[in-house]
Amino acid sequence: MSKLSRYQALSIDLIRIGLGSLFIYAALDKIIAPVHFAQVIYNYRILPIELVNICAIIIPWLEITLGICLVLGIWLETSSIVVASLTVVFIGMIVSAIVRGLNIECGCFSLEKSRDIVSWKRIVEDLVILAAALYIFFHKIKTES
Amino acid sequence: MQGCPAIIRRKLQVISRRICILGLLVLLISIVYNWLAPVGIPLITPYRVILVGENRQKVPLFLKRSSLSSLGNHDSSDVIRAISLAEFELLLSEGEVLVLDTRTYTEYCAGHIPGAYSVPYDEFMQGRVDLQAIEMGQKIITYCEGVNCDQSLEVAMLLNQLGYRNIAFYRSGWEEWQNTGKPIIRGCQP
Repeated sequence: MSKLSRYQALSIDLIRIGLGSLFIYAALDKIIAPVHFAQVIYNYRILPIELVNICAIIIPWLEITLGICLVLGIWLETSSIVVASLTVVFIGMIVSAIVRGLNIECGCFSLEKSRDIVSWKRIVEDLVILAAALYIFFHKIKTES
Repeated sequence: MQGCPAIIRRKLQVISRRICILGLLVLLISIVYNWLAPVGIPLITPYRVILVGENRQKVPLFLKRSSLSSLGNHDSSDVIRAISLAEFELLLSEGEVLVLDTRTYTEYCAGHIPGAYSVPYDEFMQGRVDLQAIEMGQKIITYCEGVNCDQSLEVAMLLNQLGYRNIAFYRSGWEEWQNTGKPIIRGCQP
C-alpha cells in the first residue's frame, strides 16, 4: 500500500468514526425524550399531524443504527449513502423553515433547553456532514470496483 | 468498459437490498423500544379539533402513551374553543370568568394575567388540584406560555371530560399578553 493510500485509508477511518459518533450522539436525546422530539418535528410544519409521532420514533433509531454501522465499518457504502440522503432531507427542512421565517428549535444534535435555533450555521454543519458521507461513499465504491 | 454498467448495477442491487434490511431492522427496533419504554408515544399522533373563530383546526397532542389514556380518544366529538386576545379581553370585561394559568408556579409568580389562578399542568394532571370549588357551569379560560405550548389545551380538555362545558383556551397565551403591553401581576397572588 502506497503512503498516499495509507493516509487516505486513515482519513476514511477517522471520518467514518467521527461521523458515526456524531450520529449516535445526536440520536440519544431524541430516544430519551420522544415527546419533545415529536414537537420539534411538528414545529417545522411539513408533515401531516398524524405522521409526526412515527417519524419521532423511527428517526433516532435510524441515526443510531447508521452511526453504529459507520463506527464499526459495517456496510459502509450503504450507511454512508443513507446518511447523505438523510442529511439532504434535514438541509431541505432547515432551509424551508428559514425561508418561511420560522424561529424554531432545530433538533439537530441535542434537545437541550438552550435551544439550537434553525439557522444558516446549521446548514453549513449539515453540508460538512453531507460532504463527509459522500467522501466515504465514493471512496468505498472506487476501492471495491 | 462493457463490464462497468454491470458492476454498478450489481453494486446498486447490493446497496438497495442492504437499505431494505437496515430499514426493516430500524423499524422493528424503534417500534419495540417505543412499545416497551415508559417514555413511549402513540404511533399515530393524537390530536384534538379546536375552534379558532369559525374555523376548525387540528392541534396535535404530544403526550406519552401512559398520559394519553386520561384524555380519552382523539375522535371525541367535544370541541374546545381557542380564543384570541380580543375575545379574551371581552370575556374578562364581562366578568364571572375563571382564568387558569397552567404554567409552573415559579413562572406564575414571576408574572401572570391579573386575576388568574395558578393551576400548574403537572399538578393538575396528577390530580393534585382541588376542583370542588369550581361550579360546572363556570366560564373557564386556560392559558400557558404561547402558541407552541399544549398545557392549556390539555387542561381544558381534561376539564371538559370532567363535565365542565363552558371552557376555552387563550391560545397565544402569556407571550402575546406580555408582548402587547397588557397589565401583569408579579407575585404569587391572583
